[in-house]
Amino acid sequence: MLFNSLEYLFFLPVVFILYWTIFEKNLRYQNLMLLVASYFFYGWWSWKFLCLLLLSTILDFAYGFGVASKNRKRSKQFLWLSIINNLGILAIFKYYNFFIAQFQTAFSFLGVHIDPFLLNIALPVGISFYTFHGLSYVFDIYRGVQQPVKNFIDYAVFVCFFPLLVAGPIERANHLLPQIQKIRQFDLARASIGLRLILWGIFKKVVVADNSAYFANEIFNNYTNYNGSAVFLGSFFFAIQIYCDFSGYSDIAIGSANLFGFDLLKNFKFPYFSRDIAEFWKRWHISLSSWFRDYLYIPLGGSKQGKLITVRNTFIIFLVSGFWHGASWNFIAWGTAHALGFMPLFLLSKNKINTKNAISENSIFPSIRELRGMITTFLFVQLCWIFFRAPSLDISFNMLGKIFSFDFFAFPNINTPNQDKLKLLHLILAGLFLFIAEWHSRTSDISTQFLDKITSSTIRWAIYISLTIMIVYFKGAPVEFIYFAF
Amino acid sequence: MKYFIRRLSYFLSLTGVIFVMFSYFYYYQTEHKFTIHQKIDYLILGDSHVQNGFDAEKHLPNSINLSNSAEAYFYCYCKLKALIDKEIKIENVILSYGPHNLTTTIDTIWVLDNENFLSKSRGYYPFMRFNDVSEFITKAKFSKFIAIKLIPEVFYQSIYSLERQLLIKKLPYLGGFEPNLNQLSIIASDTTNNGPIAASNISDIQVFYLEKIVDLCKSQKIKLFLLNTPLFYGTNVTQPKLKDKDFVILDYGNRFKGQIEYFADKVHLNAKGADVFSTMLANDLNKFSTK
Repeated sequence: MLFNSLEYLFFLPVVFILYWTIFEKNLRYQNLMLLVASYFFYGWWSWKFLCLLLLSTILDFAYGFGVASKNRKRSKQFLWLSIINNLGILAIFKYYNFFIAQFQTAFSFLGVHIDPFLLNIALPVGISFYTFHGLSYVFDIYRGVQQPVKNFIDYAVFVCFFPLLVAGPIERANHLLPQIQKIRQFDLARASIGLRLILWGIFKKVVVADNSAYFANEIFNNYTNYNGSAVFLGSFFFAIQIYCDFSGYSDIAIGSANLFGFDLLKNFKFPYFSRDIAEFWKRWHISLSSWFRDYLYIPLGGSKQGKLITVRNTFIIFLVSGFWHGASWNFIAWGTAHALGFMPLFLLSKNKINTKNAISENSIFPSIRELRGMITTFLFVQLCWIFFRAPSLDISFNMLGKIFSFDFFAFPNINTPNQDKLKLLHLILAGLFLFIAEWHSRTSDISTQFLDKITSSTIRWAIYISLTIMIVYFKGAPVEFIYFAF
Repeated sequence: MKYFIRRLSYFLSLTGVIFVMFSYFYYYQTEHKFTIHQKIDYLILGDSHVQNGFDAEKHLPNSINLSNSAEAYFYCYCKLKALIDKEIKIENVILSYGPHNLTTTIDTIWVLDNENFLSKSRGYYPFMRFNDVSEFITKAKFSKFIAIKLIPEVFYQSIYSLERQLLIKKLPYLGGFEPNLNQLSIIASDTTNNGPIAASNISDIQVFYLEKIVDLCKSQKIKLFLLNTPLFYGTNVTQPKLKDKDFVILDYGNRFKGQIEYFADKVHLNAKGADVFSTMLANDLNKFSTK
């Protein structure tokens, strides 16, 4: 069930009404209601893979008790069991074919032809997210910051709460579980923020991301027909698409959770306003980067064991982060490119300069220095997205070759029919609106903060109505959420 | 909670009111466009073959072309019925009838396709009757949800129409002659749309609505012509197997066979071809009416 689908439009109000009317008074019923709704939400996509989700949940719930054992050796054994179990599921469903293909290539290089067995199954939606939920739970128990949960329903809701089930934010046991274990009271302010976030998220996804996807797909799929400047524009459209697609999804997820009395982790904090690549990674897919920081970077030694080890750890984090997105050399190249962009900042000890505050925090316009940093960071990130979006490394380098050629200085050779010109005009209008709104929210954690700054309720309502009209009228052809593929 | 629900209801109601206002504006304009003519000598209905091929309004006085691309017979039926309901006197109907129109291939892309239904219905809803739409949804086996999906589409169409009028000063497009400016340059090797239709490939839904058009014309004493426009490979049409045969087939399928200069592609006439063909057809119709 997609957040931008008609089914969700029915599903959400029904669950909301049942939750706050029939099940309001009792915590156990509240959680049971959420669990049934979440399984229904997932089962709508595939009942078969719901069994996999259930199995993964049961195993991690059981391992949690073992990991909590006072016997450290036994605890470690259960921790490894959980790691093998979760990464094993990922390895089979997500990475098996990739590794087999690499072995096949390596053997054929040695002159040996092998004909291995390949899996022909769809990637279960949300597998990278719910396995990471499970891992976070056992890691936190092992680190002693979380007690094993005694009630299976509470734990199952933590793993599969429907707003975050298929594409995050990746929650932490010590953040979400205490909320699940406490009865929720209806909170008007939180629910109102939730609705705003849902509206804003749908606008970002349906209007900006889906329309950008139209142009990005055209250029990426036929890049040989376009000159350097047009290919550059294609990567620009994709940069806008992926941000609005994923942050729009996160806004809808966080907004939906708000309606049920939950606060989820923030996933995006206006990453395209970052002044350097270190700041970008503090603002992009925060729940994933902080997960890797806490459960991989720090256990590897973090930055406490000298520069060389820190450089190694940083590269590991970026590579793993890239590989997490998918079994392809493109994602590894994308992670490596970001690591290479980050490294000079780290080596010059400038990686924390811009991470403490937001751009032009005390003024409306950025300084020249900030603006320069913001534009160069955006351009770097935009070019890196080519690895993310292009179907192969060869094509990525060919596209970059076109951009870094004299061809770049030619006028983009995009022949847009009249209908597409109108679509482009709509996209530009919506994009400008988005840019202004997000700029006004940049110092906040909530992407709809700009609405709170408007004192006139008439203007606020006019914006709500305008957003609704834009969603209906400017909407692009439906494109599946990009992160559903991960 | 109550306050929250109340505020949400206000928002939905306000959005609803705006939606109804926009939709009424579109509805009003469509009605107006339909009642411009009180008497129509030739009403042209059908798909892109007549939309690109027959400039009736230029060659035949008192005629109106309401054909549109990818138009299944259901929509032609709705248009005809709407005009009759408005008591507009129609003498003749010319309906596009090519070798493709009754095939199941057309079912897949024009009749059973959700997107096609939504994009047609959002523009045509002012003259589509509830019973007809309901019957069509059942016949096409669409999900019942499709009626709900139509609501934002109707809203979309209303704003689109308004924007179109503001930017290019054109009334809502319900069909009409559109010259095709392309030129056939490569002769395609396949012969899609040109072979005879196998009996098993006949579309039941298209036949059903063709029958309804025939019946409606008969009951209103309207002369019905089934028109096969020229095709590059020169394919003729066969007689449709209908209960009632109160129609005349005008088969121009092989009239311009192989004359590449008249075609935009292998099945659509270009502007030049349309001009020559429209003159020819208008003359033939005039001769026909004087007989």
